[in-house]
Amino acid sequence: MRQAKEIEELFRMYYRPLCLYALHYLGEVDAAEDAVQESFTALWQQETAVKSVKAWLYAAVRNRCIDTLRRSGRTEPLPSDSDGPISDDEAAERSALEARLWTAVDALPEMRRRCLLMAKRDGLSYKEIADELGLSEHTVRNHISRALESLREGSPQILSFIFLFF
Amino acid sequence: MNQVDEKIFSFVLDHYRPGTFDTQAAWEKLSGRRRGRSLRPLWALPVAAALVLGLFLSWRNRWTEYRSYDAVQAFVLADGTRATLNPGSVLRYQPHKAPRQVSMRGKVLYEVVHDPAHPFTVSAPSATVTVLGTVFQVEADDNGTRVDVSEGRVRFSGTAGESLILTAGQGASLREGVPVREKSVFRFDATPLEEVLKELSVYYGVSLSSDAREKRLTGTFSTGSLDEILYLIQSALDVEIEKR
Repeated sequence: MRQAKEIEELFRMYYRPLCLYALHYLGEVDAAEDAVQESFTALWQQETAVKSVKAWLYAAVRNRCIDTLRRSGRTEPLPSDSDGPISDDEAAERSALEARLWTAVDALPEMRRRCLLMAKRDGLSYKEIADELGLSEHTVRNHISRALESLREGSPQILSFIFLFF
Repeated sequence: MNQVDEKIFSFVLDHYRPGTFDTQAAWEKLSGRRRGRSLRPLWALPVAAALVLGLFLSWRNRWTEYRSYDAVQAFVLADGTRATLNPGSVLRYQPHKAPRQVSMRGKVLYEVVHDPAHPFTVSAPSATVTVLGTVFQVEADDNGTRVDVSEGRVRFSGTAGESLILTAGQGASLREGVPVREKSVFRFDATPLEEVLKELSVYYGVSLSSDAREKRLTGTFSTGSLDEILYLIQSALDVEIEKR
């Protein structure tokens, strides 16, 4: 049986990246969280030593995701991103950066985040967002550019392209 | 700047929901569970708690299924969204855990309650439709998925991950897993008038009836104006259609 302290450290380090990794398989936030929780519970009960805990955790999460997908009738349980299937390595590799970006989005002030999500995720125009939220177009533009700025500070590797994108 | 960065960005924003993947809360849940187990002298307490939790989870995870057999049937979902099922359609969802995520088969018209913070998602065997608040119809079977929007805006994504934004009056269907725009149309092929009227009633939210129910209609109509469609049918079949 492992020490609580050790588990807690691992949990704080890998919880979010593993959730993002699971999300690539399951596509559903709640299911991803369940898979990661179960994997940590299993790690806690693990009696024998494992060589790389990180690799063990990723494998545990992957197996749970594949089980879940098979049970729901999917014959080829592959991870995917917004554009389609990707490799397992790719999903694992991206998960760390995605976790940082997720954290940065989480930390945004409410209004900035809503504007950003409506623009990028829902594909609404500045005008439509302004109407929806009862703001001026100028304010919406401001919220979005501030949001992108904070995201860039929060995860500098990723965000260089966003400025060209918007 | 590279392509992977962009993919990481859209993946995170597409799935982001406030308050999820919360490491602190998740840790408390996990460690709380463990502590409960180590309390030997009070073993009954964790057992009772686990039972209550189990009951709660089975209640929370419960699935609700709606079916329409030979008539058009309307159901109101937990969030107030109205789903009108054409005959032979099935809709399933988890009212407590995920009230705005439904999966379906058949043909269903949705009148979605507006809630920008919680997009409404329809999963069909081969595609997903995401909306903010709108009226739209999804037709999904083994041959494919087709979406027609009558109000608002939806995002339609295929299994290949490509997606399209559709607005009022627009329609699209899947071709090899990729959503492709189409003019919104009704297609009938020697369809009994009774069924034609049922379908139009559902789509336009009116009640249509006629005495000549056995007459059959073949043709394609764009979803623009109901009166125009009715005029065309009446003159093609030489029947009277009553609208209420």
